[in-house]
Amino acid sequence: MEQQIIDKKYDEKFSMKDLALIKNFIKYLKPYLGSFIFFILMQIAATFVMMAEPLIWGDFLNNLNKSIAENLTDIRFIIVTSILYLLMYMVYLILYYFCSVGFQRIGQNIVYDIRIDIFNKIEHLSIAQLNSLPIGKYVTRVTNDTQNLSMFFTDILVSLFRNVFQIISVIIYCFITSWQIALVIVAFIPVIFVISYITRIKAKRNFRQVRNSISELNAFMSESLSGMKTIQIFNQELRKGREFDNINNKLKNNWIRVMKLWAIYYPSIYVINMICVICVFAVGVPMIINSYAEHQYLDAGTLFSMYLYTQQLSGPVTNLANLFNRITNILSSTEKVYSVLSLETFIEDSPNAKKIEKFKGEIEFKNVYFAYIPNQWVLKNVSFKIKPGETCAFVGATGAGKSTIISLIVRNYDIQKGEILIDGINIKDIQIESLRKGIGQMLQDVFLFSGNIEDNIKLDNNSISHEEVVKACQYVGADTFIEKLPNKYNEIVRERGNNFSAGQRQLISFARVMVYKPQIVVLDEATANIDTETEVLIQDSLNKMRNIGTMIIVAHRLSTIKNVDTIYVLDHGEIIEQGNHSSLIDKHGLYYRLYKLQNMQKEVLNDVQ
Amino acid sequence: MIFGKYINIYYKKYWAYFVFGFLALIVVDIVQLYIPQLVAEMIEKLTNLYNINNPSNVVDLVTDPNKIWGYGTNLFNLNDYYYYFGTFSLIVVVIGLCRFIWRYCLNIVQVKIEADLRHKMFYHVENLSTSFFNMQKTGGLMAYFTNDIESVCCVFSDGLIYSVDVLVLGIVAFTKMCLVNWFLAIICALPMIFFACIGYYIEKIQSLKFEKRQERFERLSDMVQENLSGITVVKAFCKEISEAKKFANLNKSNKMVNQDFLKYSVKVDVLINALAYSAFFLLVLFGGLMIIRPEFFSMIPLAGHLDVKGMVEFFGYYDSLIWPMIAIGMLVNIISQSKASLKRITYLLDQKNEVREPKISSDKEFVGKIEFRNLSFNYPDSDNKVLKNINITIDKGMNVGIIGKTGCGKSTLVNTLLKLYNIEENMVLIDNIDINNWNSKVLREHIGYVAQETFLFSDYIDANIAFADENISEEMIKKAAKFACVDDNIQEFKNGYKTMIGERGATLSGGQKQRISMARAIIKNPEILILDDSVSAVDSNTEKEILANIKKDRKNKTTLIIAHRISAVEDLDMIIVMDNGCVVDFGTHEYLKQHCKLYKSLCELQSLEKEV
Repeated sequence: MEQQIIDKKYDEKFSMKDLALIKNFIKYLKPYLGSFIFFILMQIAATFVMMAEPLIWGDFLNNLNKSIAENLTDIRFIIVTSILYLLMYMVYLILYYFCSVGFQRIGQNIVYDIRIDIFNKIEHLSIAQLNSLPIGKYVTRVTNDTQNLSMFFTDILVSLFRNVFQIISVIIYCFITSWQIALVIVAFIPVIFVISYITRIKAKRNFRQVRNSISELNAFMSESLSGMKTIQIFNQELRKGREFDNINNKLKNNWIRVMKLWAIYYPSIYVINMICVICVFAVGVPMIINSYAEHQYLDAGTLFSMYLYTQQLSGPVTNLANLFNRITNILSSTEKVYSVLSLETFIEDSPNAKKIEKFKGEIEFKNVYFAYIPNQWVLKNVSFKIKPGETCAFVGATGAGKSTIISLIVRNYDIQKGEILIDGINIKDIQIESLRKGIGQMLQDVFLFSGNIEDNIKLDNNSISHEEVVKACQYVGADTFIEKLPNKYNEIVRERGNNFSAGQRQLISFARVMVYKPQIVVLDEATANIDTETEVLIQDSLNKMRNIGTMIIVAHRLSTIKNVDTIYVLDHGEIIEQGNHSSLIDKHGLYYRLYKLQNMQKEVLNDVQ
Repeated sequence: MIFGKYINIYYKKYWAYFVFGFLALIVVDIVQLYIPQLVAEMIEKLTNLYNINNPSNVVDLVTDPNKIWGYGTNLFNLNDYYYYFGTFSLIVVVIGLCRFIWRYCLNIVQVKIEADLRHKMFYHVENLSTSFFNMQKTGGLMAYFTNDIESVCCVFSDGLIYSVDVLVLGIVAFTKMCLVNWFLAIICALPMIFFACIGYYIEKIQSLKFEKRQERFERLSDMVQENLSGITVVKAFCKEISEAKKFANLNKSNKMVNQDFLKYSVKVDVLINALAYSAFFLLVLFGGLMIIRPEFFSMIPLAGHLDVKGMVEFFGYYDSLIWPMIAIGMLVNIISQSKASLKRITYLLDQKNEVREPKISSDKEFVGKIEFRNLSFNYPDSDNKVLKNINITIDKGMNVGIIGKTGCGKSTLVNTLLKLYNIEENMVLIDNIDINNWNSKVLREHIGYVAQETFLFSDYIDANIAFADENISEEMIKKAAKFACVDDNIQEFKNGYKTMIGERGATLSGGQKQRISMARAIIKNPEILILDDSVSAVDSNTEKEILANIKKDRKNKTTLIIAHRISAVEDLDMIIVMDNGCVVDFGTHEYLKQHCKLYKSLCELQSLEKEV
């Protein structure tokens, strides 16, 4: 959607204001400005050198004619011309090679720099900001859009210089030899340019239709292919086939429209170019003849070089016309990249944020109110205080706000009202990095990165030794299953860790936290079903982990938390009960009912097994 | 060119496009080689002016330019002037016209064949069995429709054009060069012949480098994708900086590979230019010597003669020879790629629907009696029996509930009725006829099915409900929606039944989707209705209402309801309790409550859940 809107905006036309967008990115060219200018000059030199070719030919023909006419047998001019020709070409190719490679290198460096900046920007956005766009969008911002953007510097600017200088040099050469012929050529340049420009505008509209029908077709097909069972069960193959034909034909007709336009455009440009050639001859031939009358000797060789120039004319002119089209594409990418780079990060260290090496582990919520969406409160007036070393648990139905509490402690979100204090300091006054370093988080979504187990535990921190990894795994009881793997700690973790069971992933994520020796541990228990054996393992490691420091558990299985110091029962964002297991059971409230239900469920399951 | 059983028909179907396109191409290639000759002749005539040692002779004649320019037979006179420009214009017009014709014919035929092939493949795939789709990921299937079709059809335009250019333009230009001077022709063609030989490898390496570049690019985007999917972990462990380092490394290798690829491309470019223009150097050197000092070449037969006209002509021919020589390498690559793609497409089109269909389907009136007789079943890709020895008869008009744990085989059991997989003979009987003797189309016509995972199409709500029959009346749609208790919800949308569903449309809740897909199944009032856990996301009041509707509206019609909640099945005529692929027991709610332990404990659990 957004893509289409932006595309459309730039398809129609672009103004100078849009070009100003590019200004924001000029700074990326700055480090390379010196070499960029150097290569541009090189490019100009190459163009001029190359433009000498027709002249050499003209001169050579004249010399040949003269030798024949005067019966000369001196071959020195042949040797000289051929060497000159070779030299010209070598110089041109060397210049061409170096400046092409040079431009590409600058372009790639610019892509590199922009990518680094945009990636770092995205890394530091808050979770809420990141959730506002699908991940895929961010990925294209980092990959494709940056590449497009860099084309402005490499393709567009370079091509602009190259083509303009090519045209200029043709005109200059022609004017030097004969202004009449030069005028003929100059007259045709705008004709070719305008025709190309207009055709491109039309072509682009057609192309957009083609692109749209391609994406329509792809969307239709991927939907039909994934819903094929439904189609077949409802006997709707023919009807879907008809729908397919409609879109398929639309695409076909749009393509045909584009093809027809090209079929007219390319031959027309050829014909116009050749008419220009004919005109050059038509003007040139009488001139040559007349020149004898005036003893000026404009000769056949010169006419031949004019012919060669004219033949090459349409290339640079059509290229130039095309540039304006390509620029619109680039502008839409530029806008998208800029829109990310210009985001303000919501959650940032305040200027006087403190760095804290080690927490004692006291956590306090004072009348905390929080909402993800304004006015839809997820937490209402939540207050509690956890003493250092204590273990406590939050329970409640789905959506009661349990997991939110954990997100708030590590400041993934900022609260709207109230205060969260750790060791008596408001978390807004603590450096985010030191806050998160001191708090070990075991998240509900156990995300494993591709790599091996050890990488996933170390998370790229090379100061952690293998022994420490093994120790952490033993501590949480992950070693038993890891030792059984063929490659042990080097076992490959596939995409998102789907070659491990949910329980195994959980244990790995425990080890990942333990290896960093945090003073506070927060645990958001996985909701997924875990087999009994793993559950016992997890239970054991949880009991061990309680000795580390303060621990907060968001529990889905109540069996996990029987032994904790305090249990908070949440309902619709409020704490409605609190106390230890036995006191809450005695109370016969919500906790009691939840507990009974879970026991029942287990019994039923055991029965069945 | 490329041939294969599935594409040969297109040559026949579009023969006119091919013939005219082909002829036009040949005409262009041949006619354009007259231009160098024409230019050379003009230059020669003009040169002859210069050859008159006494230019003052010319002056006299030129003063009266209306009659004649120059003198003697070989000079440029007014007739020549008209002749040359007339011919030149004619050639240009012919070329322009023919270029238009081949572009028109060949590019359009490519588009048409592409559409035809896509049509054929889509219709073919539509009739493949479920096991085929289980094997293939959607993304993988899509590749057949995008990349493979494209690369096959590329042959019809680019492939054909390149072939003609190589064969006609290349050969004619070279022949004309030889006619001017065979010795010079061979000397000058050598560098390009050399390039034509290595061109294939150059392109091959280039495409390998390109693949590497793509692969690095994908790695980069995978990394960003993974990083963002796991951003919570990244933030929890303060890994922003180390992730940035990882990114920088990939970014750098991406840059390097890109630079390598681009550098290679530039090198290829330089090589082509160097080879092509080294021939011009040879032309200047040898051609010049041949003109001025023919005696140097007297030992080479027939090679001694060359004049300025020949030189100019030769120049033009050689200029035309460069492109066909470059095209050889590209042509070989296009053809090898499209052959690989054609192989894949042939594989796809060779796939057969595995589900056996009877030659003649039963034409008895469909009643809706179902019988499972010793039914055992395993999916084609595993030996694990998912259903074991099931024996149940469901009479016409019965409302039957099926209950059991996740993975116990409930869905598989009802799916056997849809003929998605082959089932051994006489295991499933419908109206006392083996399911293998039913045609799947006829069978499905009479079965309404609501799948566990609702799949709705990106279309209007009413179109989704009327999926089984486009021509169904609005009233019927509304009635079906009412049956599924979703009418009220639909009315609440701004556009009512004309609300778009899907990515670009309204987002529906899970329960709404389920009920719409129920309305879709019920609209034809099928003899057998299957609800596969279709009320799981619906609140209990609505569920009750739907069940009441089933009781009321589906008298005398068979209905199977898979459910997790006892409440969804307790009032039905019969409840089947399943576990681990077997039927544990079946009977009414009252009966099961007393006799089936599993059923009893499920009941107790759920009544407690209700309390909470």
